[in-house]
Amino acid sequence: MQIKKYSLHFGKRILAKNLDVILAEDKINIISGGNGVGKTTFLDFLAGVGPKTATGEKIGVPAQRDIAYQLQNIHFFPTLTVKQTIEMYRRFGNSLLEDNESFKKIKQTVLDSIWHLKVGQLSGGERKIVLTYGQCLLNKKLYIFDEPTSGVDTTNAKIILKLIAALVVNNEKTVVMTSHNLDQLDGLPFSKIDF
Amino acid sequence: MDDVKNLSSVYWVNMLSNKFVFIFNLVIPTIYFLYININSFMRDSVTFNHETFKVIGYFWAYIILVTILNNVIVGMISQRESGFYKQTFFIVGSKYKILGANFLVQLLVLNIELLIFNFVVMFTAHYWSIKLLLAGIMASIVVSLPIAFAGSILFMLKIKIESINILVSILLFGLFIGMHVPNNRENLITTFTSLINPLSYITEVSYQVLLFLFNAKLYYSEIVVCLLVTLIYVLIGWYSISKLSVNAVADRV
Repeated sequence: MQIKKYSLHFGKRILAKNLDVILAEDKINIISGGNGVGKTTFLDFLAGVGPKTATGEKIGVPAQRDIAYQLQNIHFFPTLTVKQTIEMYRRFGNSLLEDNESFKKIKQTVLDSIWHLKVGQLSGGERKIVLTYGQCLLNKKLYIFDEPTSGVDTTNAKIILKLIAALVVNNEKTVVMTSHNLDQLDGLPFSKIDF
Repeated sequence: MDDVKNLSSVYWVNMLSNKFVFIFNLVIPTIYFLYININSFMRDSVTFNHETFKVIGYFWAYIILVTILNNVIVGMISQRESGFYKQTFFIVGSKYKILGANFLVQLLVLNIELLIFNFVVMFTAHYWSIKLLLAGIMASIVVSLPIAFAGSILFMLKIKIESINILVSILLFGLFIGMHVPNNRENLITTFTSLINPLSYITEVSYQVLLFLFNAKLYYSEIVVCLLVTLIYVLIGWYSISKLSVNAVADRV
């Protein structure tokens, strides 16, 4: 997958000009850079919901219906239980992915203990695990995660990254994510794109 | 269709957690109805006539409009501005499925509200009729979609979540005033200008449905104008929904 001549501006503020971005299909593509450089806007552009001022030529990027996109801030049905939330994702996705060992282990060690709690009762980190687990169940070609580990403790961040890595390693999906914490990615197959 | 069904069940569970909307949509008009009809308790059975149909139509109009505006339109705007809609969009893959599921759940809610209200009406009037219950269901099915389409125009506004409820209250207030501006329906044009107000439109359609079910009568000229207004509402909705952005429009989330 490739984005040619990616440009972005907000008024007179130019954030990107004629960038060529290549996304590796067998690795987690990490978009890194400081605050306000346009990382989230790039993800929006990739997902087809970017502003008009974000332009570029997409080559090999799947259609919008084949893209899963986990936003940075969690705004989801807080009144659903974890069970109901995961079941909702299953209905729209492919539960066969749950046969993966990483998924099984995380389900048993993390999700089972909070299975009947409402999402609104969970901590921020637990919510991120639940939703990342759910996103990974969706049967899409491209998975986008915006800061999936921000505000999450080291243990939970590892769980989230294990789920995301399983998408690439076991299911040959393409992942693009933004992150400030590159040290958390040690040992994972990732490729870094600086903004 | 399965996706809409699945999402509807999620919206239904979520909706059940917020029962306050029922109070605003149903309890307030029901209490007001009981207050103004308190004397009916003392009388014998009240026969339904044109006047009764008009009064019932007003209350239905309030319940239907407030439910559609608050639960469907404002609900969608809140979801969009919080990022909730964007998140759901990338799970479901279509804004029409999200809108459809949200609408179907609220249509069910609306029918429950009307059913309860109609039982209160029959209890007050000491007059029991299955036709009234059927008329409520028919009226809600006929008008809800056009009203939701008309209300979709609010999607176009660049407005914060905090302001949308105030705007809707002002809008409702304006529509109530507009409903009582004297307007002699002497010809199709004056009838049309009157019915372009969604409250008058719902009242009129409800009245026609009640007349049809109780008296087996149809007033074709009014029905033609209602159809014309319906078409305009659908066109407004078609355009507004096509412009509905996945991203929040007031603030970045």
